[in-house]
Order: sequence, then structure tokens, then C-alpha cells
Amino acid sequence: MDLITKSHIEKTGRQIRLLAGLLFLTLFFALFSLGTGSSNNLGLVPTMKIIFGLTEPTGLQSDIIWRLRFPRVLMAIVGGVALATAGALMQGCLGNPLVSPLTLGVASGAALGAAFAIILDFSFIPEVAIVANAFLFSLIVVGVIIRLGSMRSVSAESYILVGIAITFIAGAIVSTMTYFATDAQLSQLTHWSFGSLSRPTLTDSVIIGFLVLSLLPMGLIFAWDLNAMALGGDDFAISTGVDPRITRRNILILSALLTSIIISFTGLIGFVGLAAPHMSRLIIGNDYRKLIPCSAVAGALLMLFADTVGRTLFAPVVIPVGIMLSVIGGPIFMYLLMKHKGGMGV
Amino acid sequence: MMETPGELIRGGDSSVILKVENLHFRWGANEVLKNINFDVSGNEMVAILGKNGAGKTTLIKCLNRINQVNEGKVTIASKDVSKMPLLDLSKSISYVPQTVRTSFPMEVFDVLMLGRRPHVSWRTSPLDKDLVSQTLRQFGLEELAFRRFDRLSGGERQRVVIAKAVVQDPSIYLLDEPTSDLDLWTQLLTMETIRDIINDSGSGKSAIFAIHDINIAARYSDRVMLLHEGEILADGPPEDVITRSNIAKVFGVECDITQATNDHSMNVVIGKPITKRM
Repeated sequence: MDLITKSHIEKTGRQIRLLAGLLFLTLFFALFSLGTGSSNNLGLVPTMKIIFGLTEPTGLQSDIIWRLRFPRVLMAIVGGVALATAGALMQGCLGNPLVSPLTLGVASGAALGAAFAIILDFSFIPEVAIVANAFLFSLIVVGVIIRLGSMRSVSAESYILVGIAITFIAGAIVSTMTYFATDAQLSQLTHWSFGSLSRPTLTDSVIIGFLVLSLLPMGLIFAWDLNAMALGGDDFAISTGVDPRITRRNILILSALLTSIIISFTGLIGFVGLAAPHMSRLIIGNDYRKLIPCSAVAGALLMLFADTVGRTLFAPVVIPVGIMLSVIGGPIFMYLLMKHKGGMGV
Repeated sequence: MMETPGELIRGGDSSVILKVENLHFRWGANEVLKNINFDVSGNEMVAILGKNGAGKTTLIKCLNRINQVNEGKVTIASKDVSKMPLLDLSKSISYVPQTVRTSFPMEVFDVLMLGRRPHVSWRTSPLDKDLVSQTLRQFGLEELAFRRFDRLSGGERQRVVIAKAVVQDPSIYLLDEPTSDLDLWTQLLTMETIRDIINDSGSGKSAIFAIHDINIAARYSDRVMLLHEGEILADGPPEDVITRSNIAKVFGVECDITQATNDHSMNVVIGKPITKRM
């Protein structure tokens, strides 16, 4: 076998072992997180025994683990996976390392929906007003993306600019509404915008988990196309057999859906979608066949870590994960950036 | 490693691979290409010469559908390019842009592997990897195999992108100024390598390259197309097209042309600009 081929195969092997290690670490941390909280710190082994049904938990233990912590931990994993994958997909297909799932305006749409529900008491499905509104309003943004994608000469920059425009418009409408809002409404909206994992119930998080799990393989199908688009722009993609216009539109619809499914339930969580893909590039390189799985795992780990710290640091006060992510993830991200000067292409 | 450049075998196969008929291309009201007609046969290297803005890059991009032509037809092996699935098209034609820049840390090996993209579904086989490794050697890039593409010099990047096109194994190479960032030795080596690849294919491959260096064009092409204001001014063997009067007309530059007696090679000695402004 050719020597260069051999070292490439060895390198791929190392990367896959690294990915497996990261996955194991995430699962381990998830178990740890289930046993940790403001009350009833169980320790790793007892938690594992309860999770795997080896010990019969007391009623209180069962409630805390299955009804409080499990949905939260599951939501952290699923949310991290979805947002980080969406970020990696979007950065690649727009050829821009500054892009995050919030860039397209999906989150602003969701925030607008939430504001309609909270302040104007306007909603399509009153029982789950905020979630339903946030999701449906973010679908409007997905609709704009589809409409934009059907235009002939739409470039990567067009999507980013339109996303920024949507953010401004939605922001202005939300501001206008908050101007007339009561204090209670304001506080509710502010809490929504923090981004928290405490809202989804067990059923919610399992359903979201299935949705995200069914969308993820589609991201992997685009891996080669993303490699071509991330490397050399549209002309290069075409000569490699990728139609950049259609591929970009499809990838953006997929990312927007992933983002809106999560954000409707959790509120604004942005940072993980920017940082996890870049951290993964440092670990595993830019081949999207490996980068997508790695970003997904890194996103889950980052969210779990941020949330676990957030609910133990000032226990019994729980700091929302959206805040903790930026507080913890921000400095880590900056440290990595500076250590690899320009290493993430930023 | 390097034979004396210039001793080359001129291809003479008549099987037409690429055919361009009545091609017109407009940017808005501006007609960039007017009524372009030509054929390219297997084992042929065609140089496109012309000054800045003559339409060289636009023409090359019309051939592989990066630019959608307004009128006329491009066919590859009798198939209409505008109706071919893009993935099939990229198996027959590969394009090397003037420059490729990226913001992402991709390794040179993976860049070349993109050339296999039209041929593989998702997984790459050891054969694909071996082809990448061999091509890296062919272009003297083995030292760079695991370096980051975004950190290479302009010349290194250019060679990597040419090597990626070779890994794609098409029948037609479209090269937009493939030597613009290369030093003299690497220019010749790269053109020799392309010439070898075309020759080794029997009559299955050909190359079309836009270029500013008239001597490179003369030395490595079987045919020169002189593009002037969106039209083909002359099309034929280098010795017929690269003449004092044509160079003066298109580039506004004086020159002397010397013909070597032992082989077909010719040398263009560039003189002064005829007018200060064109």
C-alpha cells in the first residue's frame, strides 16, 4: 500500500477513536449529571444502578431522576446535537466561519412568536401557546429561506443579509410590543430569551429526540457536498458535481428546522452552534463526514457541562443554560482561538 | 526529473470530444462572447490567448455550465452539456479556477479526495486513496499531503487544485491560467505533467487552458485560439496564430518570433508596447 495512503488511513483511525472517546465521555458525563443537582447527590454508581434498573429507587429518588433530571439531561444532549449540527452545516454551505444557527433569523422568528403569545396573548394553539407560536413563527423564516432559494442568482451572502434583516425586523416588532407590556409579561419574555432546559417535559424531550435523530442522517448525506462548498465556493462546487444553489437551500432548510425544533422549547440558545463546530474542527479536521458527528457530540457535551454547572454552582438557584454556555463556553472558545491563532479560519 | 521542455509529441487524433456551436453569452446588455464555434479533439491541448476582459474565463466557465449560455450549444461526446446531470458532467470535465481560497482548515489530501466525489457515493475505497497518493507524487506534493490547504502559498494551492482536477479523471481539463502563481521551474513541470497525462490517455483526454504567457502557450499547445473582444480572431497551430501582426493587433505589443530548427518550438521575444494606452 502507498505510504501516504497508509498514513491517511492511520490518521482516520486515530480520529475515529478520538470520536468514540468523546462519545464515551459524553455518556459518562450524562450519567454523572443525572446524579448531580441541588439536592440528593447520588454519586455515579448508585445513579447507574437506578438508571439500568439494578436498584429499586425510593419514591423521591425516582421522581428526581426520572421526572426532573432525565428530561433535562436528554434535552441538553438533543439540543446540543441539533444546534451544533445546524451550525456546522450552515458554516459549510455558506462558506463562512462566522455563521451560527441564529444567523438565519430563525431564532428571531421564534422570539417574535413567543412575544406574541406572552404579551398579546395571541396564539394558534393556546394550550402550548409559547412553544407553538415560537415554532410556527420560525417556520415563517424557513419559508423565506425556501422562497429565497428558488431565486436564480441567490448567493451565500444573500442568505446571511436576509437573516440579518429578519433579525432587525423581528427585533423591532418585539421591542414595540415590550414597550406596551406589563412587568409580568416582560419578566416572562426575558426568561424565555435566556434559554433554559427546564421547560420540556419527559414526553417533550423524547419527541424532540426522535425528531432530531430522524433529521440528523440527512446532514450526513450532504457531507461531500459540504466539503466541496466549504473549500472553494460555488464555481469549485459545480466543477465537483455539486449544484450549490439547490444544495445550499436544502441544507439551510434542514438546519433551520433543527434550530427551530430546539429553540421553540428552550428559548434562545446560540453559542453552542458557533463554538462546537469550530472546536470539532480542531479535534478532527474539516472533512464533514467526520465533522458532523464530532460537532454533534461536542455540542451535546458542551450543553451538558454548561447545564450541570449552571444548576449546581449556586444551588438551589438554577442559572439558565443559555447564560452558562456563554459564561463557560466563551472563554474556552477564546482560549482555543488564541492558542491556534486563526486556526479555525476566523 | 525534468526532461528538456519542448520536446513534445503533437496530438493528431481527429475524434471530437468537445463541440461548441454558435455560443453567445451576455452579462445584462453586455455581450461578452459572440458566436463562438470550435471543436476540441482527443489528445489535443488548446491554449486560449487574449488580453484582460477578452472573455477567456467567461468562455471556460460556459463550457462546464458555471455560466449558463444565452444562445448556442456545448456538447461533450455528443451530449448536450446543459441537459446533463451535474454529477455526470463533472465526470467528463474538471475545471481549475484561477484561485481557490477557503476559510476552513482542510488538508491537502482531503482536497484531492474531492476529485473522487463524482465517482464515489459516500465511502472512499483504498483505490481512491491510492490514486490521491499517486497524484500527489506526480505533482511533487507528497510533502504537503497532511498540511492545511488554507496555509499554503498561492503557487502550492494552485498545484493542489490542478492535482484535484487530475484525481477527478475527466476527459476534458479546463484550466484558467494554471501557471499564474507558479515559479518558472514549476510552471514548466506542471505543464509537462498535464501534457503527459493528455498523451498517456491515448486519445481520450484533452485540455483547454487560458494563459497570458505566450511562450507557454506556444510550447505546450497543439492549437491556439486568439480571443479578441468576445470573438475568436484566429484559431490554429501556434505558428499560424502567434504572429507579429496578431500579437500587435490583440495585445498592442511589438514582438519578434524565432523558430527553432531542430524541433517545432518557437520563441516569442516581447518588444515594446506600440501605444502607451490601449
